[in-house]
Amino acid sequence: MANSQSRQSFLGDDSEEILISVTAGLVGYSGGGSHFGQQLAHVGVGNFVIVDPQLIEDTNLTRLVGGTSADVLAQTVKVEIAKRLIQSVRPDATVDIYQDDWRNVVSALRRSDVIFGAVDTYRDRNEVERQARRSMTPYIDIGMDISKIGDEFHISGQIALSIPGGPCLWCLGILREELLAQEAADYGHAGVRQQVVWSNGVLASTAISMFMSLILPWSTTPMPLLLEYDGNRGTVVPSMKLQYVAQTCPHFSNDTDLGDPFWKLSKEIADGTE
Amino acid sequence: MKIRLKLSRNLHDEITDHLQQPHPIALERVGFIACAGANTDDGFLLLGRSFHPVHDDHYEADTFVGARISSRAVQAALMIAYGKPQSMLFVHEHAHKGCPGPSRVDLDCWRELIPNFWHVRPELPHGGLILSEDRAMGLMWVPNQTEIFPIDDFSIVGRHLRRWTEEERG
Repeated sequence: MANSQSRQSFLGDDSEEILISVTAGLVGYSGGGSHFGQQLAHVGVGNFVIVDPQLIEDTNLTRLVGGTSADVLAQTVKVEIAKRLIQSVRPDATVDIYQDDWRNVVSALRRSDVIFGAVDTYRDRNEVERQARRSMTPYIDIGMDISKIGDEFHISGQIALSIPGGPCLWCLGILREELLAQEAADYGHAGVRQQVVWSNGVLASTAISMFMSLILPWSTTPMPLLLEYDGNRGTVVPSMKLQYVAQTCPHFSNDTDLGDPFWKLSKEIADGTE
Repeated sequence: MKIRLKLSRNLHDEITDHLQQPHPIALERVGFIACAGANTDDGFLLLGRSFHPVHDDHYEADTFVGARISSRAVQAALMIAYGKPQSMLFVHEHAHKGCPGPSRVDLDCWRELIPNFWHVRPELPHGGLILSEDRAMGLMWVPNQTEIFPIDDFSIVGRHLRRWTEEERG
């Protein structure tokens, strides 16, 4: 083990090699995704597939880790900031970036060992998880909401680990038909969603601890699959919902839920040119 | 071309539980894994869907290797691939830790058996897989390719994501 890893040697003798060989898929690189990129680089993950279609704007400076005012002036692509930040920590890391809608780079995301989602909509959450399940890839999702109740603002959020075969975001109650329907009805009228860097940091850090317990089970205590964040109290606790959730998922239990249902080898392979 | 294989923890345990049981005449039990698949931007992904052990009665004594699977076992496996578009992996286990290696008998068997799946699923890759107590190795026969390709990455997906690469073989 390299000396640089000595402060996390409790993770195991082969932890460095395991982390270097892992590919992390990041869907969305802004308030949540940028914390993922930074922390995954620091723990030593060696390979990244990062997707986000946007350029940085001045409103991102309050929460996009690694973004600078110079980036805003230069209208830097968010995924370029990701690559710059990660490789400033790990110059040897392979960082494949896509300024695109994630749906257009599914074949790249399928290389991921774990997919992290920091997306804004229930629709995206639903579809990213569906793709992750199809490629038998664990999916870690974070979400935050700042709402006004009476005269007071409340910050809440959740961190969920969706492992193929286990409870999915539907099982965990994060996705519900009425939420998707409401979102679709409000399309274009949702206004500016409130986001703050410190809450994103809590959610993302907790998600990274879920990831670490998944690939390097250094503790015999398994992380709960769903944690709930109360930003007013400053607490993260296992969700009460877990008591009532079936341990096997009925939503992705069919044979047809796995792989590409119309799978044909790529043209290069099928033609024998690769 | 990079080939990745993922098995769920439950399927992996079902496979190894069966393969580790003694058989009246065969030294090793064998079976078939039916896999879904999907393309990646650098190759393809095989996703274990179901395990189909060779029935006890479908082994037959062989003077050269002790026992081998009968034509009925092969026919049963071909029917699985015929019924649904899926890649088939012929699997057995070597009882040791570390990266397993195929014996000459294993390779001869694979060369004879695997291309048969192209009679029913000519468009898909099929292969052979050897599990050890903590690792695996596999070779894939890919349509229109003269070369036989190793499975590069293996993952067992559950509460603990266990993964390793062919490169570890060194």
